[in-house]
Amino acid sequence: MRRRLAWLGAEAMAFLAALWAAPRAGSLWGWLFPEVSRPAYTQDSWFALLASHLALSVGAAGIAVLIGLPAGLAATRPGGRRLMPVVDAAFSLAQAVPPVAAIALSLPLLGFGAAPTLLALVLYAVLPVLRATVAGLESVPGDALDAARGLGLSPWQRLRRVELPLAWPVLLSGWRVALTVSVATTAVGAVAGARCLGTPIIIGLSNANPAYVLQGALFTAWLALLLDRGMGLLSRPER
Amino acid sequence: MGRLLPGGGQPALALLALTAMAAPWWLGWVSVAPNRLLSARLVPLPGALPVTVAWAAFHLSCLALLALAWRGRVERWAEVVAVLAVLALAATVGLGAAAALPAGSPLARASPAAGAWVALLVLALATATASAARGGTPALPLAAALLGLGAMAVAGVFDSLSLAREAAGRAGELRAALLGHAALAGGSLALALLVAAPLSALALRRPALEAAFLGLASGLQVIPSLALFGLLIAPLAALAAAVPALRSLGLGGIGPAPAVIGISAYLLLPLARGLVAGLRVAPAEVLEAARGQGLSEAGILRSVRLPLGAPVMLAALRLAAVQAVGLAVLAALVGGGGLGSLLFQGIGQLASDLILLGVFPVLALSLLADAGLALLARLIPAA
Repeated sequence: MRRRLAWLGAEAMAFLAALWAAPRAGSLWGWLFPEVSRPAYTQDSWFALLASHLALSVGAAGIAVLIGLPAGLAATRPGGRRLMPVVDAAFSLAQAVPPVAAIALSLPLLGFGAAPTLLALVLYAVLPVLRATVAGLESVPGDALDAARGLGLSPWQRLRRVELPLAWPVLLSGWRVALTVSVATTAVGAVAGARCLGTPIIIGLSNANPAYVLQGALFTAWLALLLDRGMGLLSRPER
Repeated sequence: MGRLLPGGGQPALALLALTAMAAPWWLGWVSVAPNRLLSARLVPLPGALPVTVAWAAFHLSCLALLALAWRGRVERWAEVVAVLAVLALAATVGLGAAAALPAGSPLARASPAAGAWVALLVLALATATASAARGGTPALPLAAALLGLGAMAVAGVFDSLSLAREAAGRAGELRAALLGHAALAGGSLALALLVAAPLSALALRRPALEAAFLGLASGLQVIPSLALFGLLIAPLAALAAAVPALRSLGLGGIGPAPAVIGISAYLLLPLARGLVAGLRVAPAEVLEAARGQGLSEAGILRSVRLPLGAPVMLAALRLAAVQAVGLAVLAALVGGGGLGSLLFQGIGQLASDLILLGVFPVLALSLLADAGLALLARLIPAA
């Protein structure tokens, strides 16, 4: 565990170093793309792009947990079970509409910038959190619950001491999916004016500058992989 | 809330039916703008007879849905009534727009008001909720609603809406985008199957290969699609420059190639999971019996494993097809065409009609693919 954490830390440092080096490595990009006149992306600081990408995607995933966790808890209590069909329905509808369509549809209402992206982000991140909360809590064996009841634990104590700890790995896997979806959707949000690591990709695509596209794509993919591995470490602490 | 309802009632569905009925009252049915540039104003629904009939049908269907939800009678009927409510709402708005447009001003544009949009969205959710409560798939009723809307569009019910005018003005472009989108999704699905099918068959015998393949496929899922498409552009461009014969085949850095390869990479995981699970469905004793009859491994694959696993594999194919349609929207960004080209054009001009013109066919394609494969799965007798 400690060794994997150290590796992840080292890789994160390498990522930051690469972000620092990218605008200074004009000759590298120029060698890769000789036909491009300005191959290094210098319009924005890469650190500023990273910061806003993280703020949007991690922020949205956080909001999604704040909404999805209580909703999932409510849906698994005796009175809330009848709400489950709506959750399933929302999930299958969201499958039919890609996040980029949700961003586009909210654009005329919210205008250019981060707002439409944030709305789509939260919408698409809540569903995996909610689903995982319900699946995790329902996977708790009935014996464990009966035992807890036999010990005289109140519903709240049962939830805190028995249900949540047993459901934890499934819960975290849902958060991990939510974060992956958020990071990817944030990148697409660049189309609607959200500043993030996807911005150089979009600028590069619209100005026929493959060097910008490659830089933005590299860092976006790297960030997604780093965050996913970080979440993976969280969910399997014993190994 | 639960106490108020008779046992087995669906409080959420009842709430959705009420919201759908109330939304147009609160936020309006139809809005009219004097021309494309001026902002739209809500107009009252005209009192023409066809509008009133459609209006009454909408309210009746919503009330019927409310009653069914209240009583907990969430059988097929709830879905049928919800679909009827969608069609009646669309008719109210379409006919209402035709009657509300001022005569002799060809520039005036009518569109559904916020209330009608909210009601439509809520009814779609209600339809899907009714399906989920029954344990069925919402794809079939939603596809039925879409087909009904399509028939109404052909009959000219929506001709006065600005969205329909936009579609008529761009009919050629829309058709090309739709065909391009279907080709992108179908092509990536075919490519992914071409890779996943042999590997899944091999993985049946070699657990190490299965772990490596599934690990790679799930690792790919983490990479944002925009980044993956972007990463593919430069190598594909270099490849096409090095081997000019490939360029004549349509392979290049910008165009459908990076999108198709990228999309199929994402489809590998659902396909491989479903194919491997499907091949494992056949119980050991059945396989043993087949071996006892002298069937070869290839023969067993063909006549035992494939037929028994078909439902599981079809479910995976269905999931992959829906994902392919959604992922293909981004293809337009790398020059691959498809419905995304309308959508991104709409984003660039901040034109809602153009955005909707891109989103609606995507929704229709993914629902039809979903419903079509669900029907196909039903036709195959469960083994």
